[in-house]
Amino acid sequence: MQGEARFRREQHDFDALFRAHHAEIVRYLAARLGSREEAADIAADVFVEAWRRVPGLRWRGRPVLAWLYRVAANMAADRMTARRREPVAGNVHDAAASGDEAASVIEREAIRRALASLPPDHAIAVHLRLVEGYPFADVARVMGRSVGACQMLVLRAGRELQTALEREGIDAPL
Amino acid sequence: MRRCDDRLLARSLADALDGRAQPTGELEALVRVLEAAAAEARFDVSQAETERALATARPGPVRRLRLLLPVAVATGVAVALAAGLLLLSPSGSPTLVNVQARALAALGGPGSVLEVTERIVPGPAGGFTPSTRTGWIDAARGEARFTQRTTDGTVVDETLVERSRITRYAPVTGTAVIAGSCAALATGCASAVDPLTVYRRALERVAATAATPVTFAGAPAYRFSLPVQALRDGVRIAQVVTVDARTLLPERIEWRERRQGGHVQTAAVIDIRDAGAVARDQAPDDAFLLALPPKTVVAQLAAPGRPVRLLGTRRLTPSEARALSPPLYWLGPRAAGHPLGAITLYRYNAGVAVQLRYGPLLVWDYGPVVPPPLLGNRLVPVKQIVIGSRSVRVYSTVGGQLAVERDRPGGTVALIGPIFTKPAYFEAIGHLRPLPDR
Repeated sequence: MQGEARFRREQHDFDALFRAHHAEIVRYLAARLGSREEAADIAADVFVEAWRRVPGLRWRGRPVLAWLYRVAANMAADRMTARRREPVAGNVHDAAASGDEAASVIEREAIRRALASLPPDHAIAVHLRLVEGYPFADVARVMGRSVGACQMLVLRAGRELQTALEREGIDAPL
Repeated sequence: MRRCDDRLLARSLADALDGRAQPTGELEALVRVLEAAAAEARFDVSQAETERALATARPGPVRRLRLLLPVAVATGVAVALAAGLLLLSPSGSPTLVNVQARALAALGGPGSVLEVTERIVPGPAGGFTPSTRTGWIDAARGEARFTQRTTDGTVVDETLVERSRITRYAPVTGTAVIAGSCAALATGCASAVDPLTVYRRALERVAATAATPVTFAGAPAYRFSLPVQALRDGVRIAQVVTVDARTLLPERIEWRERRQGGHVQTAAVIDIRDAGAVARDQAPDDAFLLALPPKTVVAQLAAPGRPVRLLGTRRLTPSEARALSPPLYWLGPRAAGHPLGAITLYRYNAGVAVQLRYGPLLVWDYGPVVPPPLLGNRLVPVKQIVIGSRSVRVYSTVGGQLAVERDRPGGTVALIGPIFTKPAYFEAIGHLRPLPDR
C-alpha cells in the first residue's frame, strides 16, 4: 500500500520525482556509457520521457524508479549501438601517466570497460545494491524479481567482472 | 547441484556485502571486484547540478497545464469527498480517516517546508533534563536541519540531514561527524530522523488505530495512535499523537514501547511548540545550511553499503593504550563495581576501534568505523538527550542491548552492557574521560 501511495505521488509531482532520482540515473548511465557528460545528456532525455509517460503509468506493484531504470537502460543500449557505427576516435587521456599511476589508470579503465560490458539486468542489480546502497529487498522491488534472484544477479555480475579483468591480464583489485 | 551451490554462494555474498559475514576465498575475491567496480561508478551529482538539469528538463507551461488540470479536478473531487465524509459521519464529528487525511494535509504539500520548535521531555524512567529543538524539515527533498539546546539556551548539537549526507556538529567539543547516510551512524536513522518526519511517514503509510476527541491545553483536540515499528523481539513502537482539532497540526507526540506481555512504557514526550508549513522559497536562505566553523575536527564515517569486516584483534598493554592518539576514553581504574580488564584493539577494513572491558560493561572508543556490535536497529527517539552540557544518544543495538554514546574529539565513545539500566548508563557516561598518557 505504501508503495502505491508513493507511486501515485511521484506520478503527479515531476519536480519531486526528478530531484529524488536524477543523480542515481546519471550515475547509472555514466557507468554504462563510460562518460559523465553523455550520461547527463541522456538522463535529461529519460526525464523528458518521464514527463510524457509517467502520469499515464498503471500501478503494477513496482515503483516509478523501476520504469526510469528501464528507460535509461534502453536509451543507453541505443547509444552504445549508435556508437559502434560512428568512426573510432582514439582514446584521449588527460595527461601522460607513468609507473604505478599508469598501472592504476589502466586498471580503472579496465574496470570501467568490464562494468559497461555487463548485461543490463546484472548492471542494474550491481548499481542499485553497491553504488546506490539499496538493501536487496529494495533492489528486488525495483527489478520486479525475488531477493534471491537479485542476489544471484550480483553473484554472476561479480564473476563476469572477474573474467573480464582476467582477460585483460588484471588480477582482482586490492 | 551447481545451481544449488550458486544460490548458497549468492546468499553468502549478499551477507558479506551487507556486512553480516566475513568473506573468505572466492567470496572475498568477488567482494573485492564488486567493490572496485562500484567505487568507479560512485560520484556525487550536486544538488545545484540537479536543479540546473531540472530547470532545463522542466517542460513548458502548456504541458504543465495539461497535467495540472486533471490534478486540480482530482483535488477538487478529493476535497468534496472529504467534506462529504465529514457531513455523513453519523456522530457529526470527523471520521478517523478524515482526521488522518487532514492531519497529513496540515503538514504541507511537496512544495512546502515545515518550521518546527519541539520540547523533548524524557519518559518517567529517564533521569535527564528536557531540551529544545528548533529546525526545518523538507519532506519532499528528504532534508532537515536542527539545533538542539539545553534549557539555558546552550547549543549542544546541530544536525543537517541531506539526501546523500548527514552532518552532526557538537559546538561544545568542536567536533563533527559526517556520514554518507544515516545507516552509517551507529544509532542508525534514529538519530537523524525527526519525530515529525516519522509522524508524516506513518500518516502516509499506515492507518491510525484510534481517534478520540480530547481536550488538550484547554482546547479541543484529537488523539490517535500510529504504529511505527515492530521489532523481532516482540517490542512494538507507536506514536500517540495529539492534534489540534482546528488546525490538525500535532501538539504532542508520545513515543510508546509495548513489550511482550502488554507492558507499555513511554520512552519520550515531544511537545510541538510550533509547527508551520511555508513555501520552500519563503524559507530563510540558511534554513538548510550548516557551516562548520574553522578548525572543526571532522570524522568521516564509512560509506553505506560498504561492509565493515573485522581483520583481526590484539590485546593492548596499558602503556600501548596510553600511547594512542587521539587519547583513549575510559571510566577510570574501576567502573560499575568491576576493575578495568582487557583493552582490545579491533582492526576493521575501514579503521580501528578499542574496547575496554569492566566486567559485563564494555566501553567502545572508535573513529571512522562503527564496530558492528554497536549498530542500532530501531526508531526509538530516546536518542539525543542532554546530560550536563553534552548531547548523549541512547539506542538499542541490533543485538537488542541498550547502548549510550557521546562524541569525543575526533570520534565517538559508547557504553554497552546487558544488565545496565538507562540511569546507570547516564551515571557512568558522566565519568568518561581521556586516559592519562603517563
